[in-house]
Amino acid sequence: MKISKNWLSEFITVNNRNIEEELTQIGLEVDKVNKVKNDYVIDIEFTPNRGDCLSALGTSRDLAALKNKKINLPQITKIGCHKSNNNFRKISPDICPEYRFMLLNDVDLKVNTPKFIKDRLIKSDIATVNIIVDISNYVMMEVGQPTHAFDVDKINGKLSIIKSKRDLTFVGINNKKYDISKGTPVIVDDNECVHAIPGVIGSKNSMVDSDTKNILFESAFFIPDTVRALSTKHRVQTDSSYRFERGVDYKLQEFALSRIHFLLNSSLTLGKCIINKLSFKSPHTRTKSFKFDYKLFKRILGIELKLSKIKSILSKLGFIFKSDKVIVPSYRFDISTNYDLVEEVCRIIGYDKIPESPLSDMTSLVSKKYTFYDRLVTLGYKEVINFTFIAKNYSSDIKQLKLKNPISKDKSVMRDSLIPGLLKNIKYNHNRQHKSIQLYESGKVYARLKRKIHETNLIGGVLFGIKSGTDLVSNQYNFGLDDLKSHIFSLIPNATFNINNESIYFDKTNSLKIEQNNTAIGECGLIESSCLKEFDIKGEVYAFEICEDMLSDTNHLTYENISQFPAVYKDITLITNINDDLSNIIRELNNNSYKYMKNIRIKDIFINEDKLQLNNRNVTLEICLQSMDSTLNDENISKSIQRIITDIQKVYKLKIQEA
Amino acid sequence: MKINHTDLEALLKQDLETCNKEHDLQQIKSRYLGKKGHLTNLFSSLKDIPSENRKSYGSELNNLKQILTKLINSKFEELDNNKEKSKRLDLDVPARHHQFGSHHPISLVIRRIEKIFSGFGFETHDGPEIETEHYNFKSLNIPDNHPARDMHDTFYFDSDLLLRTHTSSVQIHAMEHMSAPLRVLAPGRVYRCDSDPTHSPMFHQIEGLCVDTDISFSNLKWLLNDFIYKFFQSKKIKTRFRPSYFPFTEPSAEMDIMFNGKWLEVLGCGMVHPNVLKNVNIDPKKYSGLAFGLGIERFAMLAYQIKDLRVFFENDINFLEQFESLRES
Repeated sequence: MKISKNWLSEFITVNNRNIEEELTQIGLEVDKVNKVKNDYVIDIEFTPNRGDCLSALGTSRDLAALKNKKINLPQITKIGCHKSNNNFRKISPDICPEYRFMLLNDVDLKVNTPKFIKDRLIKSDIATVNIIVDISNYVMMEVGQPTHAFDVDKINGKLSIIKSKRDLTFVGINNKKYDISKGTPVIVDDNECVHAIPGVIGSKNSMVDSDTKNILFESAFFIPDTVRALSTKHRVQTDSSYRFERGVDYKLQEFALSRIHFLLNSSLTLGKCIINKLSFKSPHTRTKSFKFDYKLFKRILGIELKLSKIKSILSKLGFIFKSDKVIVPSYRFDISTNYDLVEEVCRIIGYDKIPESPLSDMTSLVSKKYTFYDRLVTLGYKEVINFTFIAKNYSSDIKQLKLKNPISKDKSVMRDSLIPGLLKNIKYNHNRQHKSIQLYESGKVYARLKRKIHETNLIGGVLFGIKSGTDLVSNQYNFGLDDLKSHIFSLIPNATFNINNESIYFDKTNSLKIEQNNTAIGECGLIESSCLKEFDIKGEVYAFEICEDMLSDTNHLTYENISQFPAVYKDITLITNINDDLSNIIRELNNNSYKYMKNIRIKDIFINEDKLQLNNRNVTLEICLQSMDSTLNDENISKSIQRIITDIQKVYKLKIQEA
Repeated sequence: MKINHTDLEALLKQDLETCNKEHDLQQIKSRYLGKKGHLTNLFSSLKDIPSENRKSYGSELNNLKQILTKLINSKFEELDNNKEKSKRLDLDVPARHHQFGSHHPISLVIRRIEKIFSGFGFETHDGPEIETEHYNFKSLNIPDNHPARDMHDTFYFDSDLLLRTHTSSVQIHAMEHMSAPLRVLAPGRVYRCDSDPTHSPMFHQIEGLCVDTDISFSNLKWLLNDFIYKFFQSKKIKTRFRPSYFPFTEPSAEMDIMFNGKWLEVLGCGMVHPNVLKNVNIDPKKYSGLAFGLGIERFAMLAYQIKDLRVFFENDINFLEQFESLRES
């Protein structure tokens, strides 16, 4: 809210130098202060709880408590008020428990709005229209009561503030058309012609214009929740709805009309005038009070404050103490418990005046382990963070979580994999001349399964292009599956690989399932080429994706005695086909406890390309033999090796290449 | 050729004089001391010496052997030393390249903050990002039709589901699963339906919650001031607390730090609202709590002097690799 400093000064003495600090101290955050001629425009950002401050009067009232001063109330015309339901057929107390109006007859709308009013409205960014609308807005900015002027001659019969009995439409003063569905609160006349959405906006039909002669000036208290619901439903927020939904002082209506009368009276000749009153019992306009709890102040603030000091501060803020109870002023919709009073006292004293005291019992915890991420970084992966909503997933449609109100189409579906984001990152960086791209992301993916939402933590990585970007050309080579496997083993030392039967983002025949303790925890290999096309990536992308939640610690380990005797390494070469599942064979061989065998591993793979039998390959296995209690002799060695060779030939039907 | 034993020392010295290679020295060694060397020959001629002179001649030969051995060994040492002295590394050799990766600055800041708060006894917790109205709003004292909802532009799914607008929802999960007293820290992604140069539809927050029998606003001030000093590694940094509003805290405050001569808002905090405690069956008459929430991006921007929020999610390698040298543990 922007307001002129000179205007505020009419209520309370304002010091140019520290106005910003003072307002900030009491929780009214100053966004900006701009000098305009002989005045300053103060832009204050109000939190939603401080509806009472949305006027010069409200802001000054709060400042007065800080400065220990009294505020000057604006001048008004003393006019009488009587109960009257002339002009009204029915008012529903669920919508409007307090309604005041005055009728002004034979008004000359050609009279100009006084200059000081125009000036101040402009400083508050409010457009000037005509004297009636301008003074209505002026009083709203001045005391916080939104009012509305109806052209009486455009109203058919009497008005009602009720829930609409059928679907209706109307055009607001902003020229927009609104559909009023049956049951929606509305101000209508006897012909069911809509004249306003209560507290939100008036109709174009009965608005005051240059031809208007007779006016009904409305000043009401509409129930905050009702106005909020109407403003949300019709998607329109006005200065009026903004105030009503935050709560307008329910004792302010007559004062506002008397002030309007005073201001109009200096420009126009007004006839005899009276305020008409319609008032209904409502929980929203009942005086709030509760038992005062002095002890809570010490508990919450951590310091002892004198009871007299607390009472004095609260009294300055308009609270009244009556026996053991405290009565809340009619403009404070945000106060309902003693906790709220603690904040009131605290902000007037100043948050900075509250001393600090350390937390007790500060047992330091060992912070979460990040070994996994640290290893990824050591291996050369750069961490990225992508938006979790993407253009589309490649999985089946049922599980998809689609946003109802996405920012854009390419951010409309919750991701079910980290791969699409990582591919986007490859494309982005490849376009910027990066030839070696190695990235990882750790984050959630989302799915809906049987109406339940699943959020899973994944870690995904991609390798693209040249392994090392800056080495000599002769040393350059492209990332491959060997790099990927070496990374997986560095991350998960007890990982094993298995055939990948189904995959969405990975190329089935050129990828592997990653397992740990015989449980699948992820996959790795080449990304499906159709997926690469989608992201316009030329070249191979090696990737892995691991479920972080399924990773198990490899911490439980039992020490094995070290043999004092030398180990012997023997190589044997197998003639195999690429379709033989060698990894599995080696795993099984390792599991068979052959005498003296410590380990068996693939040492080399040779593919004789000359013969163009690309699927045939010679695989050299290295067998490590060692005994715990003696140096192995030739006989022991050849017996052990022979046993292994026999199994390979008989069980796995593989040929051994003769040396 | 018969060599007289008295000449042998002089001969060796002559040979050693001209020798400057280890290989040559080995040959000299075998020529003098080897199996068929001069000295061995002399020893084998010992049997031809008349017995009365044999003993003294034998001891002369033994002396000679010692002298020769010493001379050769010291020559070996000399050659060794010379070799070491002449060894010269090319100190201009370019470093062999090892490309380290990097942690994302957001992750670095989360770790830094976690480390500080773990020192205060706060334990890190995770919470769902897809939430219900209940956890994101109602249990945090934000009813339907409350103007405070204007502060949250919310992404919705088809039913009651939404993307959490703050990590404050983890407060509720934590209090439902743990009993007081508790100290919880919850970092994570949050979402607001808002996108412009200063707002990202997805960003990161850290929520902190401490519930105990004697927690007060003065504890809150101490904790957050100490955190700021530790984060910025300076006790000179100026801070201030000012009143604010969050439906789930009362009193509520915002914390500012003095940055380049201006107050800059860095976090929101307050004492847990009694309604929030009641919602999770914690007796507000017995317990009180402090809570705070801060934006990670804001802290990362301050820590690394990043000016533009958007760079965090562009994932440009030129940006990411600048964090290669940073390792928070």
